[in-house]
Amino acid sequence: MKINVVEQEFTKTYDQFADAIFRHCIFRVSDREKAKDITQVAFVRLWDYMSQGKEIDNMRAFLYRITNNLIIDEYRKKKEVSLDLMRDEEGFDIGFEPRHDIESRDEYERAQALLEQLPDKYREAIVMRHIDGLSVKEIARITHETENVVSVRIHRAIEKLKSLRS
Amino acid sequence: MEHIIKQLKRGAKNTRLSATEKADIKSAVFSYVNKHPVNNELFTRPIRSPFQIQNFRNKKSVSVLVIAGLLMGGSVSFAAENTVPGDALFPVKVYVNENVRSVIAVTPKAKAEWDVRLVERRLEEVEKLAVAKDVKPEEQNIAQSNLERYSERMVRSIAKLDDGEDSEDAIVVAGNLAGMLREHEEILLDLHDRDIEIHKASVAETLAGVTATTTADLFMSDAQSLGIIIKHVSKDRKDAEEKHKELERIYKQDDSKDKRGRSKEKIEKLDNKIVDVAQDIVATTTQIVSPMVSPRKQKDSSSDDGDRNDSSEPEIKSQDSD
Repeated sequence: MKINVVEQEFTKTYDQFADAIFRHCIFRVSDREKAKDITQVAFVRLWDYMSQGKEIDNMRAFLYRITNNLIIDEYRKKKEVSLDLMRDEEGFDIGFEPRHDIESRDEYERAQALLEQLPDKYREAIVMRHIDGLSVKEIARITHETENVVSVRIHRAIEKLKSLRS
Repeated sequence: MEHIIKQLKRGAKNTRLSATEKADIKSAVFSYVNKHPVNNELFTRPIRSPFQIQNFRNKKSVSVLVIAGLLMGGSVSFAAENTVPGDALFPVKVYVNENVRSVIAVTPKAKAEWDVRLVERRLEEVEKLAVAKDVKPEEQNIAQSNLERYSERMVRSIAKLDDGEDSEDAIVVAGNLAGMLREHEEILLDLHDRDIEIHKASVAETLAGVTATTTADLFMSDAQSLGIIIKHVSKDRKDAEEKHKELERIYKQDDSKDKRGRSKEKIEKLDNKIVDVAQDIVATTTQIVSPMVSPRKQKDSSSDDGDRNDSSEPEIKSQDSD
């Protein structure tokens, strides 16, 4: 009985948040397959936590924290190899799901092009704020930073993008 | 700046997993779930997650939390936490879990913050129902009317804080409320846009003779009910932002006048304390020194020691980091 209830909650959580977590991943790592892998691992980690009977006060924030930690691990692994090099080896970035219309794909590629110019920490802050819609307070909790640091990073990220564009 | 943010949001709007990809990942995750089932032993006692932020400065609140924990112990309360209207355990969530947590909220500020969190829980239920399959309209209606009821209650809570002397608390809570409503407005707008797209896709499939019109209609009706909720949330968010600005305007002005008066009072209190302490030191020094100077003199057995045990420290207001 207990098992079914926890599984049901987990299933609902997956259905509700899988797209959002995937979207966060793809705008952080710029690679569709990698983003899918991280999404999968994030939910596996969530299951590990839930299946041990641990309570989660804010599911959304918890999932973003797991995901962010996985992405940071990913960056560390790839530190020796630049992401550009990786993309050159794999060919062009097929980040966008091919079935969608051209306009949506262009918009996606424009957004990615902006984000790829940013250092990791700025990218993390601006994706969480303006793509995931998390508040500065939530981002601070998820990333273990102060709200001030988060606000400054978001602001600097935007300033950097503005200056690069001009 | 706005142009860049708009570009990011537009780029993100249609970025999601395809139905196949979502199903494939789900299948892989559940293959793991089946190999690592729930550990029943660990469900006998609730374990607090690091995401619960508690204030342990007050011993009384610790004991209240322990009692609440005992009352909430067990898998039923835990399982009820993520339920929505229509689920069997939803009454447990509202009438047991939430009642217990209301009891824990002893200060007016804690009550108001809990009321904000209650509104957020009602919003999360609306959002969960929006993504769930085979949802009955009455369940969605219940979720919607719950949201309206709790929103009204929360507005009254903040008004109480404002009427009382808790101006700073009212500002903080109004700010938290506005922030929370902003986040959920964005989530609801996302869900609404998605429903519209799926509706359009369903219409196209209907015209091609692939699916029945009812599928397209269902998504349109979902989008329409979400649209109504979004209007309410948007209005509440604007009201909360207005209230927050208004409170800041009123109390920051009064604050600067009051602050001068309060600072003067504090300085006077500290001055008096310094005098008392100085007198204590003199008395103690005299006690120590006088036997050395004239050893035959008896020690003064006055009650000076009692004064040193006086713990009338000036009050320092503890500040909530949230």
